[in-house]
Amino acid sequence: MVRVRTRRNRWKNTGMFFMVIAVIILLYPFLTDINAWISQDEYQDQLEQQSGWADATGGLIMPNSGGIAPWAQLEIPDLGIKLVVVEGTSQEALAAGPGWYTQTALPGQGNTAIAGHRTMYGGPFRNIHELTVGSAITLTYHNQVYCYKVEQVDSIGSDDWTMINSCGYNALTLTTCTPEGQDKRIAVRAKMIEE
Amino acid sequence: MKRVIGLLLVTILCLAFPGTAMATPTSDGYLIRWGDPTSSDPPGSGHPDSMDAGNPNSAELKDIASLKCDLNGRDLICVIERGYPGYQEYVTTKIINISDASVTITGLHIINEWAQNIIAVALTDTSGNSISIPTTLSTGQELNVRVVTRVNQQAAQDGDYAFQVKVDAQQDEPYYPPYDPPYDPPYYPPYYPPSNPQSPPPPPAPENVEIIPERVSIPLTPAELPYTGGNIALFSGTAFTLGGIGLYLRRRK
Repeated sequence: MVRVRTRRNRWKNTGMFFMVIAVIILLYPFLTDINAWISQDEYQDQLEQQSGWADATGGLIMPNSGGIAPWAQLEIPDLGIKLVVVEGTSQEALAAGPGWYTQTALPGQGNTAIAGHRTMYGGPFRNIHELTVGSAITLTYHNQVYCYKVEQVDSIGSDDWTMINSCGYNALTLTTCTPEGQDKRIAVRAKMIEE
Repeated sequence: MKRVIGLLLVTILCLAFPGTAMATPTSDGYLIRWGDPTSSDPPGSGHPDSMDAGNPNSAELKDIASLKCDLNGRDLICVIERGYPGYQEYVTTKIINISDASVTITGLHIINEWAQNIIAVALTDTSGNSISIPTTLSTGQELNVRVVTRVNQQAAQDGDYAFQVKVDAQQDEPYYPPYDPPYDPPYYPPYYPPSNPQSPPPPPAPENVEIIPERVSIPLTPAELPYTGGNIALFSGTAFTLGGIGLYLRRRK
């Protein structure tokens, strides 16, 4: 009798373990969202501090390149987005916010490309597919505001780097995943309208 | 349970021995070593700085930055002084297989983590053309290479960077010559077509052809754009499945 009860308790404990794991997995996407929001707050403060330094030194100080560092501020009024862009597109960087492709140009020097999560990690580019031709995007980098107008929204292959490469004019390219699957990305190309 | 743990331990021990026997590097752990390095822009050379492909400032032909290189034991140390974004020079050197088996070179990287985002490195041949990677070197074989170094755009102006470059190399399994049987296979002479009984003469060497090294553009991009999705349905599905199993186990009589 005692042995039967012990065995039943063991099954109950195993069941409880499974349920706890299930809750953690269920909550994980929301935890990544919360983590991204906290990171964005911290990076916002750091970016403002950096801007202060840039002001004091004539804008010559470059952002810290070691680890994940805030890089610029991205604003898309049509989507109600105001986010801090971090350096790099590693998974760690993108977990904190949209990331600048470090192999692309600085704002005003060619095609600047930024990647962001569409789901989880705060989903900064969740509604990017709603952008239409003419939508305004601003990027603030070292206290200089760069304004862009969307000129195309395309679905591209995950191995298609043509939108990230130089395009012959000053542009901003945003990329994120699509609901269609892992082998597709959405790319938004915006052209700089004033410097 | 004890049997399972015992079986696992035995399996791990059994696998550990062949695992250690696989790699046979030299006594100090090195598979390859670098040859004597020569910088394309040593300090005080007056050599105008080179920059990355398409850099609008490359026409200025100024000598601001410099690239020093040296060997520290078997490690290649590079020092860029007064580096600025876009500065690109190279080190001419050799990669020598010093192990007792063939070694496959799969890439190149900077071991200093802080420099990995600031400096890019790439391997080319001595003319600046890309080397197909992976490439295999037999024991003692030397490969003449250039290690191209570039200061990335996010680096600070006028920065000094000292970093160590490491070749990603892995050793193939040692080569054992096949057993040579006593049977001597028959010799088949090479076939020449009747119209051309002798091998064709080598083509005449081109005269006065100037080989212009191609400008190197360091490939930095991985195969795919970064994955920026996250399958919430997968998380939910897994969670509900586990939760269902848990609920079933708890209610089980």
